[in-house]
Amino acid sequence: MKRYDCLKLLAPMVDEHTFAVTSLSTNAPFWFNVRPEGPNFFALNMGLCLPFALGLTAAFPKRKVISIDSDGSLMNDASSLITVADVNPPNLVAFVFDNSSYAFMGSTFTARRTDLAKMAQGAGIAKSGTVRTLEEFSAAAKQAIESPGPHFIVAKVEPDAGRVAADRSRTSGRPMREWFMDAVRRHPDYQGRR
Amino acid sequence: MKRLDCLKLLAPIVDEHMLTVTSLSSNTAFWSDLRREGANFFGCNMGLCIPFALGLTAAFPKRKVIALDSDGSLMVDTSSLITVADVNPPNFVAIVMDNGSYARMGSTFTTRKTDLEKIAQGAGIANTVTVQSEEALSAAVEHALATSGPHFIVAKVEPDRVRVKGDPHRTYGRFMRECFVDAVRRHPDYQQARK
Repeated sequence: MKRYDCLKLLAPMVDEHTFAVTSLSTNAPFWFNVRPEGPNFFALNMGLCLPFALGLTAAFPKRKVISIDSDGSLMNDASSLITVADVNPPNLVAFVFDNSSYAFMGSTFTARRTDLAKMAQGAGIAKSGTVRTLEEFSAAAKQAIESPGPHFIVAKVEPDAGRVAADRSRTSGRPMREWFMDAVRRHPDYQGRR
Repeated sequence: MKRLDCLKLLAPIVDEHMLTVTSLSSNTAFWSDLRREGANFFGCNMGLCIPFALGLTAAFPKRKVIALDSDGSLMVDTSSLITVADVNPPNFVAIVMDNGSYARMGSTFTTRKTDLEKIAQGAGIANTVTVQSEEALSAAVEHALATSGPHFIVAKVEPDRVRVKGDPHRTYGRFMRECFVDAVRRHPDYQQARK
């Protein structure tokens, strides 16, 4: 299973008011290509993707917040799973693309014994599972977006180093944050100053 | 089950050449009173107890290294369990005293849904157990010290606020570190670094 194919399946399931947060590196340019518009926060640093999404679930309780994380990133702060379980936000959908390696660095493994879905269950996230095929991914994603969560889906993907071009001014740094804030201010649920 | 009773059971099982590392607060005060000699590192800050012990397992591969951690501390860096599972040190024994709260702060809960043993299994540590009684703890620790690990033991204890007065010189700061390094230098397995 390839990460890009998963994200291509996911994009049409996500409506215009759904929030999405991605980890660094591969997830950011891929997701930008399949969902360039809407409230997206791209390329959070290692360990910060899931916690950032958790914060958004509190700010926008009526909307689904989708965290598009990766195994290396989540392993930087596996404790965030405990906080997610304890807060128990029904609108959080967390995907972890697990290629078992830091592929960006020429494939060094992340961990050889770890089962992230089981760690999430241990943390207390009941709706937690692993998918290995596109059919399973599609079914799990659809179910997670339509039903109350929190949901935690580990998608086992190949450690390909496939690259797609993305406009860096939309996926990193200050301009990306401005785009995100702009989308938040235009969001129908936004309660702050416009 | 009370933490102090658990540690009292543990002290006679630990031999003089094993190395121990404790988390802050209750574990430090109790353990320093029970095991006055030997290589003890007391009062590792939140999240640092298991990683510190993991480092010692590499330095002393023939001796058991015992991490006396607590739930609040381990939850600061749960990722360390992934590293323990990956390094897979046979001489590593973690005992997590889980009172479900930050009792020192007037009892605020740590978490309401988490099963630390299951997290450790998910991380990839095969030998894990949760114990609710002193007999079970005793058996689990004896098994862990006699067999190849890594072992991960969760001891469910009451959130009591009993205090024993630990000697701050021996449990904190520079003097504690000097005592630890001194014990390490006198350890039979210590191999002096080449200059």
